[in-house]
Amino acid sequence: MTEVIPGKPRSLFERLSQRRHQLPEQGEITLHRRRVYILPTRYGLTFSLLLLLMLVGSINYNNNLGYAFTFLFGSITTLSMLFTHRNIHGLGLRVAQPEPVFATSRAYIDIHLRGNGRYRFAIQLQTDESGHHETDVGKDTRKIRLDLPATTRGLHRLPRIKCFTEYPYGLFHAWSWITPAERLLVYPAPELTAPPLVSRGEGESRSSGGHPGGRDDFHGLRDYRHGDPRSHIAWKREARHGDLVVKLFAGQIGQSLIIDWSMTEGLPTETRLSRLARWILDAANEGLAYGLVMPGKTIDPATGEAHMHACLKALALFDNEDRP
Amino acid sequence: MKRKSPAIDLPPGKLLLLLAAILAVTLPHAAHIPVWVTLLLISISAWKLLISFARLRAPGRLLRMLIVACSLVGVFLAYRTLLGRDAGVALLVIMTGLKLLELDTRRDVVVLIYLGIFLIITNFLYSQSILMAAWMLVSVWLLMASMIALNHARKAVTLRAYARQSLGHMLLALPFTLVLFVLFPRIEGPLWNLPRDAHGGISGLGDSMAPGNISRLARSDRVAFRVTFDGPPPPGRLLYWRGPVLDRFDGSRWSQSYLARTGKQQSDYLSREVRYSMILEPHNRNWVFALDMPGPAPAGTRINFHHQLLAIRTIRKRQRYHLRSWLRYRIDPDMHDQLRHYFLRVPAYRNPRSVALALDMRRRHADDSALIRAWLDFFRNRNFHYTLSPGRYGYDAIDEFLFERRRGFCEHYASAFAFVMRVSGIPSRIVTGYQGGEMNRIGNYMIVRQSDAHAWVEVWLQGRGWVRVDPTSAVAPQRIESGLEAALPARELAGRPARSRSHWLRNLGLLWDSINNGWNEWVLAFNSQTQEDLLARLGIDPMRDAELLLWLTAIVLSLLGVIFVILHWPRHRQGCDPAKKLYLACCRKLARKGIERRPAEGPLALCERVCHLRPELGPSLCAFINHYVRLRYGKGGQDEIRKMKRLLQRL
Repeated sequence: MTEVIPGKPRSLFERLSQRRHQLPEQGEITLHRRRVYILPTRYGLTFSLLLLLMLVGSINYNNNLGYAFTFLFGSITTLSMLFTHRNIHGLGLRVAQPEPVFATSRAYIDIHLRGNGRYRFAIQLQTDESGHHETDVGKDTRKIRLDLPATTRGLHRLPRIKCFTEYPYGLFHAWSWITPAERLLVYPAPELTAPPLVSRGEGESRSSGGHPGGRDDFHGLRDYRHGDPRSHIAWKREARHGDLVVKLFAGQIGQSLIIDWSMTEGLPTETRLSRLARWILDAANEGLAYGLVMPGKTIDPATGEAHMHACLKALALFDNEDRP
Repeated sequence: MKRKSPAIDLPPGKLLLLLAAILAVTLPHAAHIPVWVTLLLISISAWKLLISFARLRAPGRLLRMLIVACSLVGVFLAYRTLLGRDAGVALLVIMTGLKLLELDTRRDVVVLIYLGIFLIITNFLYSQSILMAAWMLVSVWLLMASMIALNHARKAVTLRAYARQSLGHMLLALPFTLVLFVLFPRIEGPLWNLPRDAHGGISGLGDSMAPGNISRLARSDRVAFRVTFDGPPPPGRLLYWRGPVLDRFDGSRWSQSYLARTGKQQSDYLSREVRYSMILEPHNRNWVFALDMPGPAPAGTRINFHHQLLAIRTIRKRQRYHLRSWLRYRIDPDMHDQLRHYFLRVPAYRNPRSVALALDMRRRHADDSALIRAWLDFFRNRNFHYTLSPGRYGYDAIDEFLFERRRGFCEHYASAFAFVMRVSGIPSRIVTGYQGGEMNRIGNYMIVRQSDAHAWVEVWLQGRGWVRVDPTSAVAPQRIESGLEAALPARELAGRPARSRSHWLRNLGLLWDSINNGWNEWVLAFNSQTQEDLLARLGIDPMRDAELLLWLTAIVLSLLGVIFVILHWPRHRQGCDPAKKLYLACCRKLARKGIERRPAEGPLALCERVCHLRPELGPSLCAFINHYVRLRYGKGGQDEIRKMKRLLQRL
């Protein structure tokens, strides 16, 4: 438990310590000695004042047991610095690739913690935008889910994550900063009150007799792409040949409609993107095959989750590729 | 910017632990704080439990303020002050109790624990016994465990884990504590004036003697001092521990005159010296009870006109003295006439019958020694009783004692004897102190208790100086030979804590006392002098404080370093299976050669693919992978790991 206002680094020293680890890191991060910092907490400083008071009292009354117990507390305090440091030192963290989310909702970052051979008490994680989460890390890995607001569309860098502990006595604060290399993809928020999708283009849309999402007719195979549903992976082939492919079904390429950028002429850019996102979702919901035409990018009609994500990603990154 | 401490809701287990810690710390204070404070604390604890378990409504701010105000008034009424040691402790206990009622935020709990830690130190102002130290260690344990519990937000708690951890931490801290205790420079306090009641409740022999004073003291079993002799202890009948000497008599009370503040007269020592060290319990005076007759005064003490040894400073804590005494001596063989007359003064018109008897005795015995013998015979033969409860004496106490009641304790005999000596023209004075002592065979030292308090007489004889005469020995010779218990009838001892009820109980008592003695000597009496002695014995020259601090820092830092290494060393490499480590190293090697392991690729598939792509790597890799698979999924031993290492190098 800390009393930091999220987003406000605690001290000059911490700000300096942040600067050292600003290069994004990928994969499992082990908190080795050179990236773990430790300082007394506010309670630790108060406690040292209390110890001083006890020492002065012992001197004044010439009280030998007073001396002895003051020294006992002093020793435990000093040792607790080691205990706190040890509690976090050597901890392994892996930041999982976050799932894409829509703007104005909340994004979740899953962090997998590994004790690396030691039981760790009260490990806490927090980012500037999220509250803090506390967990014990035992033999097996432990997952902590941080959530943060996804405000604008685009491909965002994940915020710095602070991993810290004050266990066992709350007198010292040991911490380390993690800058994950993973990016968070935020789709434009789908418009809430969009006009119904007007079809246009080659195939007559909404040929109602079609078999929406008919998944029984096997059509062919193509390479696995990120986002393809797992149930479509041809596991038998993977076992035999070692390459990941997914099965395509006839229903996914039957009818198709084209969702075109130009259909939203006259609106501000972000509203247009929102409306397109809404249409894509609607089309996907109804199991229609749909394509997307954007300035400079065209996605052929298809169905499936992977296709939907590809379309939404195109919207998210529109005009925005090089935004950090 | 005011930071708000996060709200906290202690689960029942943690709350109980915290309550136990706080009650453990305050329990010893119950002996001296007003009863209502203890009751208040207990009822608040119970209240808090009800609030927590039965979800009762917590008291509002107004009610809490009301309790505070009432308690302040109560403490003021009890002590007539809010300052000082006793009132301060009572207030601290009350504040701790009230803090229990507002454990809303994390900061509240921390403040409560800190109050508890401070209360531990205050306990030592009242007692520094072994039991107190042990009990406070338990309290520290509980407090540290609750501190850990507070910093572990999980609701499902294992209190045992906290207890185990805090105990481990305390054990690790012990060597540091020891080093700090021995090496930390001792500054002779106080740094500022102590409150007036800082040393209350300590008593012993006073600076005057009225009938009843010493018999009251003799009812106490408290230790006055302990003595270790260099060599065999002198026989019991010679163990007269010299305390305040009283030379002024007002008819019933003997007191000290200005002479007690003047310097020593002459003395010749006629026997070999007796060397001994004495640990004196604090008694709020500056008497040092040396064996009759003390020799040169050791550092920190002086000898007054009456050959009494006095500490320069009031003895407020246990003190150790190395003393020398001579059992045969001659003091002040020459005395000025004026002084001689001073030692003959008695109040006029008091005790007329005793004066008449004394003058009559003088007429019959011209020789001083014969007169003294006659008076001792008088006590021996006239049916005098030696008793702890002689009753109250009136205005002419000596008349009443000699002619009517004939019941008295040593002060009555000494007082009457010194009085008749003065009337008879022999200078006399009263010496108070202790007589005898119990030898502790286990620790090989002598315990002298308040019950050994005694009073005797010194008379001045021409050519011999001051000579000790103990009239009690005429009435109750057993008192001098074997102590009070032998001299008194059994029914008088009934009320006292019997030290001799059974043999093994007495031995147990002696064992406990010898442990206590060691505790006193090594822990409680540890001061800058002992520190210097100890360092000298370790071969370190007496150092200045700055040097000492430097040493202290160095030792503490190196100890910390050792513990740091111990904490980080052994378990660091246990986390990963060695076979898996080697396999991962192999994969890294392959990656450098351009063959990345695919996410879904197992070791055998990888091996097959590598054989296909880079046939020259095939044989060693296949062997390596075979070992690995056997180790991970079958059985294998240390030599397979060795083989894997070799193969890996070959790749």
